[in-house]
Amino acid sequence: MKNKKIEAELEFKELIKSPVRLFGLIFPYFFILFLIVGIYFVKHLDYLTFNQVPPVLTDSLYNRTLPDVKIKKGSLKAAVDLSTISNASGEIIKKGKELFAKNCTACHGPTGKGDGAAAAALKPPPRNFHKLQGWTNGNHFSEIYKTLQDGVKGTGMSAYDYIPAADRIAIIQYVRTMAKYPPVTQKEITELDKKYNLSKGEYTPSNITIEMATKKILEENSIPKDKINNYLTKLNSTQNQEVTDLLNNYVADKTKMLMIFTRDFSTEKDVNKFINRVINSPMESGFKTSVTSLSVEKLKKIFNLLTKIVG
Amino acid sequence: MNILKNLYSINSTSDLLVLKFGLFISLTFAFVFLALLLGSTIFSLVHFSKAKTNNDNTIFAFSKFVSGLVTKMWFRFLLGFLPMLGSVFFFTQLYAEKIPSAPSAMLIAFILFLLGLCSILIYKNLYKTENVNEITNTFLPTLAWLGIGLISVSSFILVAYLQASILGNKEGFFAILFSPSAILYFFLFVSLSFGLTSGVIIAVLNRTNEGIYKSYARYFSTYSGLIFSFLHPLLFVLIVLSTPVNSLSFLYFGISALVLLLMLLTAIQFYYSYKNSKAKTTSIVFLFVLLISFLVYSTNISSEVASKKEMLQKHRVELFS
Repeated sequence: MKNKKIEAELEFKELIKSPVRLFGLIFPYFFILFLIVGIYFVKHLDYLTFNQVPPVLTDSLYNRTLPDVKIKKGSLKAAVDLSTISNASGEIIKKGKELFAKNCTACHGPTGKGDGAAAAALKPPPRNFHKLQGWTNGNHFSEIYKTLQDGVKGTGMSAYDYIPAADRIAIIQYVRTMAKYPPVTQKEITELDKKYNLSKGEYTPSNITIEMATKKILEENSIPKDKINNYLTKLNSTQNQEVTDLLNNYVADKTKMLMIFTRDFSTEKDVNKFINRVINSPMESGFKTSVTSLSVEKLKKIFNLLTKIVG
Repeated sequence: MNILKNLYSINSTSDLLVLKFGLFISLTFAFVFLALLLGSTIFSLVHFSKAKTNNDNTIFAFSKFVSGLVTKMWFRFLLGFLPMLGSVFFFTQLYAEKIPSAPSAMLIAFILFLLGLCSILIYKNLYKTENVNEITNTFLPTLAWLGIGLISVSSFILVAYLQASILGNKEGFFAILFSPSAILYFFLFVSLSFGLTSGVIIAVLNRTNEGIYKSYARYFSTYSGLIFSFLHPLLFVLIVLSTPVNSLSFLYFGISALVLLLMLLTAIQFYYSYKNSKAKTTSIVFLFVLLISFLVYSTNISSEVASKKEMLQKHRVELFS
C-alpha cells in the first residue's frame, strides 16, 4: 500500500502571509481563552469567597500610624458634696493647700506665682494665680475645673483627672484665695454637675493598648502546639479510613480545624453546635466552603471522629 | 523622597477613595499616551528605514504621518505630562508605605518619560522634507530609538510597580522590575500599544482624504491590528492565571471577562475595517481606551483585595500562633 501524504487543510505559511485568514479562528480561539479563565475561576471559588471578608480597616492605611488606646488607670470617682463649690470652708481650703503643695508647686511655685523649680523649662510659662488676665480656658470655677480635668494642649499643663473630684475642688478653692476670682453661680454649679456627674460619682475603667490587649487574649486562649501536633498524629494514623477520607476531602487547614475543635467543642461535645458552626463559617473553622454540601449524617461522623481524637 | 510621600495626608477612607480614583484616571490616560507614543514612534522608525532602503517616498510619507500622531502640544500636555505627573503623585501617596522604593522609582519613571518625550520630539525634525533621498541625518533616528528605550523603561517601571502593589513586594527596585508578572504585563502593554496605534491610524485615515499612502496605511494597520488582536488575549489570560490567589475577587473575574470581550470586539472591528475600506471604524480607538481603563481598574481591584487580605492577616488575632 502506498503511503499517501496527508494534505493539511490549513497552509500555515499562507496564514502568515495573509493573517486575515486567521480571523476565521478568532471565535474558537476566544472560546478556549474564556474557558481557561472560567475553569480558573471555578477552581478558585474558595479563595474568592474568603477574599470577600471585609477587614476592619481599609487598604494601605494599615501601614500608617493609627492612634492607639492610651494606657490609663481606671478610677472610681466618689460623689461630691456640691455645697463645697459654693461655700469654701476653712477645712477645704486647708486641704486644698496641702494638695497644691503636693501636686502644683513644682511648676506654679509655693505661692502660686508661676515661679516653681520647673517653670524656667516650660514654654509658655506656668500660670500666675495672682493675676486674672490671659487664662486659656478662663478663670471661672467651672473653667478651672475643665483645665484640671483635661489639661491645656500645647502647654506643660497636663490633665489631673486621676485626682478625685473632691480634691480637685479643694485645690481650686485654695487657688481662688490668691486673688479676687469671679463668684460661683448656682447655674455654673448645675452645669458642672451635669457635665461631670459630680453629685453621682462615676466609675472609669482602666485602659490598655490594643497590642497589650491582643497579647492578653492570646495568652488566655492559646492552646499548646505539641497538644495539637499530637492530635494531628492521631488523626493521620486513625483506622477509620472512610471518615478520614471524607474529612481529608473537606478540610482546608487541619491544624486550624483541630484548634477550633479543641477550643470550642472538646468540653461541650455539642454536635448540633458543631454542625451549625461548620455550615455557617466553614473557612473560620478550618474547612473548605464545599463542606456545606455534606449531609448532617456525614458531618456527625466527622464530629465523632474529632471527638474521639481530641478526647 | 519624603516630600513626595507626605504631600497629601490620608486621614479617612474618603481620602483614600479620592486618591484611588485619581490614580485610576491618571494611569488610564498615561498608559493610552505612552502606548500611542511608543507604537507610533516604532512604526514610524521601521517605515523610515524601509523607505530609506527601498527609496520609497510613499512609505516615507506614511512614516511621517505616523510620527505626527501625537505631536499636538495640548495632546502631549493633557494626555501625557499631566497624567504621568498625576500617576507619580497618586501612586506614591497610596503605596509609599507598602513599597518603600516607590517614590524614587516613580520619580525615575517620570524623568525618563520626559527625556524620552524630548528625544522623540527632536526626531520629528527629520520630516521637514518630502523626499527620502534628501535625508542623510543618521543622528535623529538613533535619538528616536533612544527615546523609545527611555519611554519603554519608564512604562516598564510604571507597570512593574503596579504589579508590585498587587504582590505586596517590599523588595528592592530590581527585584520588583524583574518579577515575571511585571515582564508579562509589559509585553501586554507593548502589544496593546501596537494595536492602539493601528486603530488610531485607521481612525485618522477615515477623517482625511489626502495622502498617497492611504491604501498602504490601511492595509498595514489592519494587518498589524489583526496580528496583535491574537496576541493581547493570550498575554492577558497568562496574566490572569499568574495573578496571586490572595488578590482574586469576583469583580476581578467580571472585569477580566469584559476585557476579553472588548479584545474580541477590537479584532472584529479590525476585520470589518479590512473587508470594507470605506467603513468608519473610529470606535476602535474608543474600544482600546476602554480596554486600557478596564485593565488599570482590574489591577487596582487586585491590589485593593491583596492589601485588605494582607492587613486582615496582620491584624487577625493569631490565637494559634
